[in-house]
Amino acid sequence: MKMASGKKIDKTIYFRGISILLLAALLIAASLSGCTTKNTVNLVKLSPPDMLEQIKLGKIDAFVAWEPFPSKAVESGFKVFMTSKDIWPNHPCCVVAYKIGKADDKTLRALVWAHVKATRFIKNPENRDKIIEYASEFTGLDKRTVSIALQNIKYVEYPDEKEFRHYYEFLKESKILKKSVEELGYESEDSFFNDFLRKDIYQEVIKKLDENPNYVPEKASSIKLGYITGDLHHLALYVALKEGYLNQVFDKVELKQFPNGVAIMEAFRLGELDAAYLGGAPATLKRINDGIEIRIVAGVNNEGSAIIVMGDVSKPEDLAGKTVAIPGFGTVQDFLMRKVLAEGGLTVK
Amino acid sequence: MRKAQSFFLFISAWYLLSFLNVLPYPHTTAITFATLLVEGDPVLGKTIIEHSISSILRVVTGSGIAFLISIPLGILMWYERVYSLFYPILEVLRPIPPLAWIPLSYILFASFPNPTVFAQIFIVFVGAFFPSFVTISDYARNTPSEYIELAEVFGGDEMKILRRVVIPYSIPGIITGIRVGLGVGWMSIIAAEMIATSGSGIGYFIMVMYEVGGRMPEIISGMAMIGIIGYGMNAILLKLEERFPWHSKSRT
Amino acid sequence: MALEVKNVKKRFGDLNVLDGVSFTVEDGNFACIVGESGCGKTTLLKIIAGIERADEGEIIYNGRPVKKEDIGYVFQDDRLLPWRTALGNIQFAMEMRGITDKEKAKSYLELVGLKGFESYYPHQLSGGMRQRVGICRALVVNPEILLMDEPFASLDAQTRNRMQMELLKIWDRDRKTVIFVTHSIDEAVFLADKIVVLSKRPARVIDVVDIDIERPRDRTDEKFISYRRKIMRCLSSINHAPQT
Ligand SMILES: Nc1ncnc2c1ncn2[C@@H]1O[C@H](COP(=O)(O)OP(=O)(O)OP(=O)(O)O)[C@@H](O)[C@H]1O
Ligand SMILES: [Mg+2]
Repeated sequence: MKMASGKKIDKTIYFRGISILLLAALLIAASLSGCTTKNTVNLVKLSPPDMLEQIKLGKIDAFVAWEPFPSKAVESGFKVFMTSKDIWPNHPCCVVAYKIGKADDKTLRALVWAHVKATRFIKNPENRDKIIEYASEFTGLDKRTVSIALQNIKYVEYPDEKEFRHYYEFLKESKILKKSVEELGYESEDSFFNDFLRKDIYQEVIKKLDENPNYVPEKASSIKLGYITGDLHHLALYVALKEGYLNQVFDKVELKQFPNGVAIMEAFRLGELDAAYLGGAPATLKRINDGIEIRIVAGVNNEGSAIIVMGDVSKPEDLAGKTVAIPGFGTVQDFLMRKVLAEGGLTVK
Repeated sequence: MRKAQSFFLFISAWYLLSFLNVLPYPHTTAITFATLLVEGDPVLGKTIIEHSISSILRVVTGSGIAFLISIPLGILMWYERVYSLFYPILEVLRPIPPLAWIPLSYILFASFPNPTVFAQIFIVFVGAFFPSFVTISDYARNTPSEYIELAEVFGGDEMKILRRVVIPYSIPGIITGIRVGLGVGWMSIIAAEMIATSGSGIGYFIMVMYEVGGRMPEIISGMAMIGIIGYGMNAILLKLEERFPWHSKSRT
Repeated sequence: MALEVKNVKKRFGDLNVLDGVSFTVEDGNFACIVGESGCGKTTLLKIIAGIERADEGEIIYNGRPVKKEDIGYVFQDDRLLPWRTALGNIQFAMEMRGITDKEKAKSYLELVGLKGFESYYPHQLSGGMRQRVGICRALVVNPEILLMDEPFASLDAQTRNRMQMELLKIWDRDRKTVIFVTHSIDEAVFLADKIVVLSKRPARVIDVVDIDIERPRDRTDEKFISYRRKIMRCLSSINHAPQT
């Protein structure tokens, strides 16, 4: 370098050092002060346990999540602003899916049968006490919380195709879908959904059960089954296990826990799972966007989510300028929240 | 022309992998990258530049605080008394990688008004502090005894030696320390952003793109941006270091 | 009025370096110390300057122990701070003594012929220029005693001769007491009022020779040559003498 210019390095470096530090101080200030504007909402992605923590700290003003998180928030003194049933009745939520090529019809028949038996067990009012017991064991929550939460979940045997396509339209419109079904090799959306929502196994199983309530399908050898840790929506799986339905139809059941549906879809991609309980959202998103070849063979639950708010929110408009949390982009809960925000004339920042 | 060759090799390998359907094509990725520079992604609605700025702000803040401590403390390590007091503590803390601090910091800052941001700044702080501190103290402690003798022969006391000899001698070390610290801080912020939600940032962007699926070009664009920024920061500071004739190149 | 080096002894562990060195330099005199490489000349100079401790013996100046403020030191290497300009290096010595006088620093640079090079960094200066900055730095603090450790050793013969002349000119202005270490006999005879000849390690004074030649001295002069021969004999005699 040309030191001959007579520059004093030590001095300039001191100045540079000081200005860097000043800049740093400025940036601390800037980065800590988020700004909010009228009629917009700050949407953040949080895991449901974090939502609970952050709403307690006043860091977020509202969140949407699946049970039991809304019920836990109610326990802590927050209020349910709207349940997902109010926002979108009968909306699909969790499903049972299998990896194409990893499970034959015999395996699927056995799985769907166990699932239907467990779901019917849950829905039978006579089993109420036992169900609360199971739910509490499965989620690690106290019985009071799970019994409130259970009221908001509608356990189903198969999702409503019309509502499923409604959700698909949302994904398409908000450009979350990267591919069209045609790019995946389907002639039309109808043919895609005919394939994706595979109903024949379910129909066969319930027909047999209608004819003979004691029907048990032929025993399959083994299954690798995934589910999400402590997710109350997946209670049917726990019941199927505890009531012995799964053992009745499988020689061997290998269960694997996952933190979320995305992780389950990745496991499907890697061929680590034959079938799994997971959200319909990651199933659909990753089926289309990443081309992970799965089909849905049964429903798990409809509804079962809710929006929780701080005390001063009573109508959608009140959310203006607030920070609201969703569990993930493109999830059913994301859709639910956006529906409510749109009702209040609010846009996402 | 070595650079051109190595670039050509890289692109060819990439095309090969694209033909095998492992990666998206380089040109598709380039178009996505260019689009993301000016247009927000439909999911998050922010350009990759905005995400980068968020990440950079956090890195500059976290590492700025780290340097505020590591520079004076590193220099003071020249004093044997300070050195023997701090060295054992720092030697124990130093091998803990910044990423190992992530869970603890999210808990520690849970009660702060903006826990995620605080935790992330803290992780960058940890990441930037140790390498910069080690570099700077190493430099200060290696101030040639000839210069100290020179100051002594003209009657300089410890304070004068520190101010007029140790500090100016250590300036290239400080710059190296800042460079190394920023590098580690930059890696730490990406990891921290991937683990907890911050609403913006390159790490967050990549993670959301991954979760939503079907966005390999976006993910690679994010990675490229990380590389470009990391490279840029390093290059600028390296240039600055070269200005010091007594700066030995052997130091990292 | 004199600088007295009294029976200085110094060991570095097992290595006996100075074994009772004594000599006196009168005020305003120019003394040279000659001795072979590694015999302990630099060590002796550092002890006089007070940056190395003697195991035994003392340095007395005007009847009292010598102080840092009495000393100006020119190192064997040029030892300029690379982050400071020529002027900055001069000011460094002043700053160590708590003085700030830029004009004085500038005028001293001018004195050693470096006007216009104030803002040059050491790596932009030639070897001779760097040595001159080093001498200037020692002079600027107004020392009573100037200690110089082979300042011209690394210079080519021509530059070296010129520097010797310039040094004598500067010395003639205010007649400081100078102790100049060299292992060039020619240089010693050219510069000194008095030459202290040290033995091989462990060093002792084997002879002190007063040089009685008018300045400016002529190297081809008869007297000059005979002094040279005398010192040379003195040094080579110890080389052949059996080791003790
Ligand atoms: N700090 C020290 N520790 C140990 N030994 C030392 C130290 N300083 C000098 N010595 C040793 O003392 C002896 C004399 O060294 P000194 O530098 O005084 O020699 P010198 O006469 O100046 O030699 P030269 O003419 O080569 O400069 C050498 O053998 C050297 O190795
Ligand atoms: Mg020497």
